[in-house]
Amino acid sequence: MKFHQIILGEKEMISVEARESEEILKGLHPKKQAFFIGCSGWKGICNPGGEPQLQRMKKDLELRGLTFTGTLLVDALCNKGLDELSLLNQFRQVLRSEVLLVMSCEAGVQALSATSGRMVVPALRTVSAGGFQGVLGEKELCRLCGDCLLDLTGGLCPLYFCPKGLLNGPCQGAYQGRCEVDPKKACGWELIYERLKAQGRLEALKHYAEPRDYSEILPLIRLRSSLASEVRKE
Amino acid sequence: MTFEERLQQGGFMITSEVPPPKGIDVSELIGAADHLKGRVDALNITDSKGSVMAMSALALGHLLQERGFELILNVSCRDRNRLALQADLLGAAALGIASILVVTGDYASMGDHPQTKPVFDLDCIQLLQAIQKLEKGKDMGGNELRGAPRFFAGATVSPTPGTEAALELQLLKMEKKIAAGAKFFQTQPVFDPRAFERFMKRASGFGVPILAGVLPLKSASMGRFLNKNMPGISVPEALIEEMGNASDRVKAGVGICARIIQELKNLCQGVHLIPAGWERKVPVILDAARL
Repeated sequence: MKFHQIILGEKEMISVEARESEEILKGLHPKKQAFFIGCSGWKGICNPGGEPQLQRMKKDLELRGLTFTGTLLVDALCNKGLDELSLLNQFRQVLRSEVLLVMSCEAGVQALSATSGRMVVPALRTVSAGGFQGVLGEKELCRLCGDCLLDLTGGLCPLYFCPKGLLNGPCQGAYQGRCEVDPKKACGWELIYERLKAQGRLEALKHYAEPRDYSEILPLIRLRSSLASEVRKE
Repeated sequence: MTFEERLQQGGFMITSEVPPPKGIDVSELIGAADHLKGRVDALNITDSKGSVMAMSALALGHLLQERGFELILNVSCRDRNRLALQADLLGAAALGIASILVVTGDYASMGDHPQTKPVFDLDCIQLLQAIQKLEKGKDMGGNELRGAPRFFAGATVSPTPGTEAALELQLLKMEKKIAAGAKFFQTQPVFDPRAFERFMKRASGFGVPILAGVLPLKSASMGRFLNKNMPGISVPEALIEEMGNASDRVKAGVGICARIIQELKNLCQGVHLIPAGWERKVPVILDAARL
């Protein structure tokens, strides 16, 4: 497994990391002129790295032969209104470029693709929206699976805590309370056990959880097709 | 006599296991398995154990079945969704393999194909329920089967895990597995019969035969490696020292294994010998354990 560059904003709701220059340039042959647009991010939610990260990446890419028609930092690239204004603001540099290099989470990349109509290349990769943390960014994480069983696990999500997504208790891989897949993490089921014990509800562990209904688990087909029809209407 | 029939007879059971080869050349494996013929009551075939890609367990099962082995087919939940699991189970039944060991499966990142997509559509308890449903003539979708299979299904348990919470969870899950149809258990390797006894005090009450896993040590460093890397396995320091001081490591390893087996004879219904490469030494170990 490749070792990736420092993860920007590891503690935020949305974690992004910089793509290696070689990887970025792979999508840009033959060498094109790029306009580099970056996102300032939002405090507590995401951190794409701001101006310092943008300049760092620009320098490294220039060393490898990429030329830029300009750079711009925008507050929230995921907002299409802001994107339109920003692109208009710098329209000459944007027009002179053949590709937009976008330093933001994947939502910003998609928004810019829709508003600019130009080729976009992500400079970052969205590693995870670890889970929905509520609108004010708390620590409780939701996998948005659409098939909740928090009542059976004392309020702890086994999908989040268990890489195997086991619903009927742990596997045999836990070592000193740590998960066999990532020893830095606790075995989710041991956490659930302690939580239920504290609630005096250990008998909940005896409940048989049925196999999941993946036809009802996000991303739901009915949501995907409605989005597609929206785009066609535009 | 089938594995099920031998269990019902009573008497101390002995099972062992062979891993399918990584490739199609089964000659060495069959040679190794032949050493176990007549010495074991049944032979497990592992299912890409440790997430190391190997030939289909079902295919090897068929080849060994033809040579007269009594088999237990390991079925892991890691690689197949419910369609494929049911398909393979029906295939096994059609080929005359009835004994099944249901396992959750090691995570893919532990093996030699870490990039693969782990499935885990069902967990082992849901798979045991699915087996019961197939036996009643229906698949998981509720559709009638053209010919219902009959299985003898078992599961695994970790008898000496690292924490109290883990032990409680293992016992709880064991009860759930029995409720879902598990008729026998093979455990993770045991190195400390006293710790295993504590587990058996609770588990023997469940009324289901338990075969304790036994893994021969090949060296002191293997003992240390197991302690460091294999969850749920804890090799006492005294045994590691014994291996380290031994002039003949094979003799020491065989001796320790036989001693453990003899202590386990009074505690459970049998042993499951995991040779891990020492298939040819299994008869020696069994001789030393007077089995």
